[in-house]
Amino acid sequence: MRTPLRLYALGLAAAMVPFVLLSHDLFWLNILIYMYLFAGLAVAWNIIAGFGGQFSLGHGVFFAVGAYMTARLYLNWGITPWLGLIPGALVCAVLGALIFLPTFRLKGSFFAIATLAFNEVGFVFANYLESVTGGPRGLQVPFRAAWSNMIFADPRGYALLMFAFMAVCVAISIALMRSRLGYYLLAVREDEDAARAAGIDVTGVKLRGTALSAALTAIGGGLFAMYVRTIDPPTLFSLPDIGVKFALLALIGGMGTITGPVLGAFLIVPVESYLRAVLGGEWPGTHLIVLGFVMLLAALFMRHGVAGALDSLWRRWRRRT
Amino acid sequence: MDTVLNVLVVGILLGGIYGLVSIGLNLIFGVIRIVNFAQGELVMLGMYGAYLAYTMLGLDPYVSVLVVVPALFVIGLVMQRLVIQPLQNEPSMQIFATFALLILLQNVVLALTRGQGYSVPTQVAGMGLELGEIRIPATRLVIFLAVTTIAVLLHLFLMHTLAGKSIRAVTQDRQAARLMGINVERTFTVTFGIGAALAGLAGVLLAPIYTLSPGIGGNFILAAFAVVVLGGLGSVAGAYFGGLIVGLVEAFAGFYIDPELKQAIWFLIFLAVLVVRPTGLFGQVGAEEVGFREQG
Amino acid sequence: MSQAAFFSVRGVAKHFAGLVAVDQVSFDVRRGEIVSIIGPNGAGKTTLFNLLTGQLKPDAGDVSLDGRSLNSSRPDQRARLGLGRTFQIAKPLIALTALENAMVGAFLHRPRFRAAQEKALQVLEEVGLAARAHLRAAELTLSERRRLEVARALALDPQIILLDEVMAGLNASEVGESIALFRRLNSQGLTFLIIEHNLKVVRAFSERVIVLDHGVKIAEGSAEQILNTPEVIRAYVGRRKA
Repeated sequence: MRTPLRLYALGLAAAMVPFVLLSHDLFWLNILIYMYLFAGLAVAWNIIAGFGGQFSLGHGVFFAVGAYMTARLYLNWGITPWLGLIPGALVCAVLGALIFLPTFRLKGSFFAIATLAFNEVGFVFANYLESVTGGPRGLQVPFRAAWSNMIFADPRGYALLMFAFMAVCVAISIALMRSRLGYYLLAVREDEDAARAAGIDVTGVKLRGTALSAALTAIGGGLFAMYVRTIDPPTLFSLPDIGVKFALLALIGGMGTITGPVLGAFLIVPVESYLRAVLGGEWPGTHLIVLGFVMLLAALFMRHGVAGALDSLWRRWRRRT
Repeated sequence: MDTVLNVLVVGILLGGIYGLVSIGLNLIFGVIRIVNFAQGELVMLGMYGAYLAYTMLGLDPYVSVLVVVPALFVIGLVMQRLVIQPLQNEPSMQIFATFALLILLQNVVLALTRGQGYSVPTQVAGMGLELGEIRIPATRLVIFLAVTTIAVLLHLFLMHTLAGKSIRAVTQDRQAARLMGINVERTFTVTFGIGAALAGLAGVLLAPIYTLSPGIGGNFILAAFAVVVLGGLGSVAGAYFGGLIVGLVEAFAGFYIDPELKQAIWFLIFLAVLVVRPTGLFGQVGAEEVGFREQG
Repeated sequence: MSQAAFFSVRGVAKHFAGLVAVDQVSFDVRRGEIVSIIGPNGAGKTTLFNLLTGQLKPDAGDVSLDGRSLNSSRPDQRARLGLGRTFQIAKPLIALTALENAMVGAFLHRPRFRAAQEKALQVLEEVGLAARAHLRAAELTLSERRRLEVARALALDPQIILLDEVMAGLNASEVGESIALFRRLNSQGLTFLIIEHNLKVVRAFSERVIVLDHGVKIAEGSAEQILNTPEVIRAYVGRRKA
């Protein structure tokens, strides 16, 4: 909110650096693709959760719906994903508003668990509705490289795609924080009664925030589908890998800030992937043990995430000069 | 009619399992109000504890309860003091930390066991009760009896002991309890210990029924949350009857509607209850309205 | 010429499980007037405010502002119609700066960022917080937080402002500053309905006083009249056991 725009432009340019440096290496390129994608997804989650204070663990549903819709539209009717992303986004905007509306009266942990339940229900239905989702086996998108198909022979295309997604999400975040809706989300997060006294339609604001967040998440899901080209319920509805991951990345990076979710993704995704590659073989699960430890330490010693830690360092430095 | 009875029995026994797993979580969630993602892992530790007690000490699980449960109590105390308590003012981070614990516990066990599945035999394995056409395995019957006993004992504890009353006070209104001189932090620690111990107990009693695997906690955690919310915060009766209801719903839904949908069914019911009566069936009105910020 | 009351409260009542909190309270406030509500602790003053702002649903009664009934309006709708309020325990938006707090209010009638920011700076200037605009609300003193509350309410361009014990905990010079501010705003046309414990403030600032005791309006009149009425004194001090 107070940071000048050119700093963000600088940050975005800096975010490109890993790509420039590592894009020749297929191993790291794959990591970068996930990093950028999840950075965007974490930013999208942060809109309703960090800014709006609605700690959702159900965003996996939007991700999955976006993935399924984009893939289906492409598979069944040959609709280019560039357009096919949109219906998923719109559906999720409405779906998000619908399913979150009754749960908004719940606070804190209750809301979190209720949204978790959505994810679980989604998982069951995704397995069940075979004609729509391909059931437990899911959907496969055959490899037919073409720009119009959003399928790239050169994976660097995907990296740029995900980077663009992240950039769009961040840009929307920035714009939000200079808009009425953004301020209203913050007010709702801080104190609903005070917000009402200030003329804010609390439920309406929550719904709008959810719609935006869900739509962006759905787009991310669609992009995911066109990258991995194999989507199934266990993958899409996995809480540690998808639904809860968004929250984790935003938390560790700094919930409620614009750059926090990006920082979280840039930190955790490479670390996790690297650990998995290095430690994964020997003793099963060791890379996750390390990750779990890192997460625990981060939670205990960086309560406001990386962004918060950086912010307090900055303040301390300014006070000294 | 027989099949209905059969489904009924299956449902009740299943409900006993859900109730047993949830009763510890109910206490923790009701008092400390955190989404303890690691609760399922505590049950898992209880199961592996039973396995260890069997392989190293030759103890039948129903005996190893005496060893495993106190061990889990201590683990719970440690977890609360080192991880949960320091993050009291950052509820989101608390959730994040419990998730970190989940990953840690699951994968430590995974690494140690190399992913091998274990089973824990017991003396009562083959035994069962015959009610006409219906056979009730002793292992499940024990669970049902255990959860009923525990529910009653816990209820008495909460109602008639000073410690129990402190817990109830903190559940209702943290600030007021503090003002009345109740050491809220100590109450949290003890509660978490008890909750972990109950999870451990569930784990031990479930060990003869399930094949042990590090990820088995995941099977229970969501059901447990559903039961806790359904039954009502901080209400022992709620966890007990909530468990029964969930078990029955799952059994009947699985039988009459579609076994594949049964998980979705009780989640939908759980959601419906949340929306219509967020306090759950037995909880106190308004308890669910305490948001992240008003706690503390 | 008959004049419908600017702010009209008719027969407002609320009970909680058998306990009557507010019992058929009625009064009018004229445009530009300053009216105080006083009464001993537990008299139902804040409850009355919550009924007037819509935070609580009354069991009976009508509230209207400038001829428009507020009965079925939510608190945020009433704010939009011109009713501003502060809370007894100040509720600043803690993580936001003073400026951002004020902007939350300003955005109501100014959807564009620039305009909202200008209005916010203006109200902060009014309440004397302009120098603290970029500090987080968490870093403000109590008196500053009170003023921020007022600023946020002022940013709504309200027609009438409801202040709930806004002087509590302030020292004498802070009280003096606040009264000066309110007088200034009143001279610009803002109507005031305030709950106040500090009888000196009431005497200094109010045109009319309403006394509430156990949810009932027991007296109404000018500050002079009221503060010398036996019933009022009894309500505060209690009956003397003869």
